[in-house]
Amino acid sequence: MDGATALIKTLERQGVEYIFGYSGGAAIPIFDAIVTSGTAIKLILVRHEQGAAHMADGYARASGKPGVVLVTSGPGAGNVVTGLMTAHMDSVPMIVICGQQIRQMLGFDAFQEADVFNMTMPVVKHNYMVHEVNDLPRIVNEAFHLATTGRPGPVLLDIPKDVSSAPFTGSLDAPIDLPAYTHRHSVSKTHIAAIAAAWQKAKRPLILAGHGVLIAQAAPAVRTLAEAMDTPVTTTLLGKGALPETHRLALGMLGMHGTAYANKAVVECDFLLNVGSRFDDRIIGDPAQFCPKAFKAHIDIDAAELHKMIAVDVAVRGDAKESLEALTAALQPARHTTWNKHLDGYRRQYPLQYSDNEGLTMQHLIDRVYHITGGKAVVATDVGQHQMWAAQFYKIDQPRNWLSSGGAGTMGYGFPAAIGAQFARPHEPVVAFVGDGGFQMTLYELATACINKLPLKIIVLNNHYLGMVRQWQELFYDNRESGVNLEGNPDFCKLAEAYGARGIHITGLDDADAKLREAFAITDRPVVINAEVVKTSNVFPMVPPGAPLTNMIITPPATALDKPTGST
Amino acid sequence: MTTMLYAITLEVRDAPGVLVRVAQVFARRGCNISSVHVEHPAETPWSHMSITVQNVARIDQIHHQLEKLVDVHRVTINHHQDTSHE
Repeated sequence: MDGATALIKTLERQGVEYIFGYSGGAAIPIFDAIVTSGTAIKLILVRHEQGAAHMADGYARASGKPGVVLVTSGPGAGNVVTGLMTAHMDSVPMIVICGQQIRQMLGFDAFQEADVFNMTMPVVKHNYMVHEVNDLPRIVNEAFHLATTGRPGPVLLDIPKDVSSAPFTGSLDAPIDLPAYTHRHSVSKTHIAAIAAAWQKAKRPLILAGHGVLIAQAAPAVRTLAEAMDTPVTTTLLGKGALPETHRLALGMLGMHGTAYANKAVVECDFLLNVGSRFDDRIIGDPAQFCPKAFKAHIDIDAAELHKMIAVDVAVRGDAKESLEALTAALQPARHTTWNKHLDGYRRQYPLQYSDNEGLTMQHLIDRVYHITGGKAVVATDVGQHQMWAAQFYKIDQPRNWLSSGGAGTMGYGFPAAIGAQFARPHEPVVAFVGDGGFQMTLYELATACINKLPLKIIVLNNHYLGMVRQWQELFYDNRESGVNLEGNPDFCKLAEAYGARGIHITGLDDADAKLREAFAITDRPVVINAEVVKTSNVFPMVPPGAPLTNMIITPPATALDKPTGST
Repeated sequence: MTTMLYAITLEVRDAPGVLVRVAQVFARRGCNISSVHVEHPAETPWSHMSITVQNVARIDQIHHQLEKLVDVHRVTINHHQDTSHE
């Protein structure tokens, strides 16, 4: 057995079902072992390494299991960096295996040699250069342990070709050896008691639930606690599904493009429990004016997130589920009828809405897809206006049904992530909402989707613009458009048909519903739905970057806005 | 002008790349490292790293980000004001 075979066998023992990969010289021994080892792991051959990374990410978010990527050295590894960054920012477990030049050539600028170990350090939870063939099983086991425990994240293994080719004489049962790594932290009873005491006194309590809730499988604990304490719940973009968004206590997303009622709840609450969110700049606006009147508590598994953006009254380092269960045990149930009725008033006054007056909008189409799928689809998005409208109008009732690049904001993520999700959950409907900009960054993966006959629905919300940047240019840069006009896009339907997918063209309000139903009836191949939408809609509500949430703009402003100073 | 000096000592694994990982925590903020010393004392499991930096913002955050590194076992930070240049 060689190192590559030991690697594949160890992956198999870790329960790996799929490897998303693209070959190359330095990775040939590993690709060879996929054949010679007789493994049951299925290799999904992609068309670009970035696609592989986002597929593994989508697979991980949709399944809860780490996604695995296999690429070659140099450019192969270089092309996964964006995917690593995306997974790292959103705490997604992923194992990326890279071929590398032979050891004696390292540092010699040999063919396709890149210093991947150093290049990727800032975008991984941890990485390895494997120097000893017999270390491979231990390192693989460590990589899975690191990727999936504590705050999850991507782990990269750089494996020189002479290491993967070398005879393996070690044990596949090699135990992990991570003496400096700790990931279990007992939840402080004192701190839980302090949070409970403040909550018990609160008149206007609010729960802010983030991605950490879903990672810790704490969504049922959120629901139990919210119902017991009659406390409304707002979520971050990645926290969608932490409480069913159709629940009476669900306020939807907060922040820059959050619902007006969620943002007003944040501004007015007197108690805020943040569980599993890192108080990202997209949700807090001006940190100095965030949630000013409230007692603030924060639960996070990562100590580096506590007091980072917002200094809180009580910070708990620990697992979200364990902490919420401890809180539930420490609290007496309460009713907050006045507060919830007050927020219901805001729901009626400032509902999420759109108009059909100017034609087919992205909101309309997303809303229709929500109804046609009964809200049950696994939804992947790309990045930009359509992402925010999807967050607003596609309510998520179940964890792991929402895949979106939040921290990194990676255009090109949505479509390959949906491919990964469809592999993870082959019998469930998967929808990718993408813009015409982002889709063109990774649409070459139509080949992967078609070859594997994935019944994906790729909905291109086509406004022939980079819409979010255009919106900022309209609002903050005197409507001077620069570098946002995408006129000249290819015919996405013809392109789809060229790959072997179905292409369906929606030209306006009149044919939207019938064409969507036609698309959703197709189950033997991917469908690309090219929807021509109103070109210049803007996403509201909007909190200008760096402004306090009280400065939320709910309807289009009549006058020009000042250039934002905070965040980007 | 008053300068705040931070003396940071770390116990780390004796593994390739540890110094890079630690240095990146400072470099990404545009923070310059004034001095660094690394050695692995005999009969101890950890390498000892000593770093000094000046006037870095949010040292508490840096402390946590250093501790989060998988190869870092323990971090201690001492600070004092250097008024010798007044």
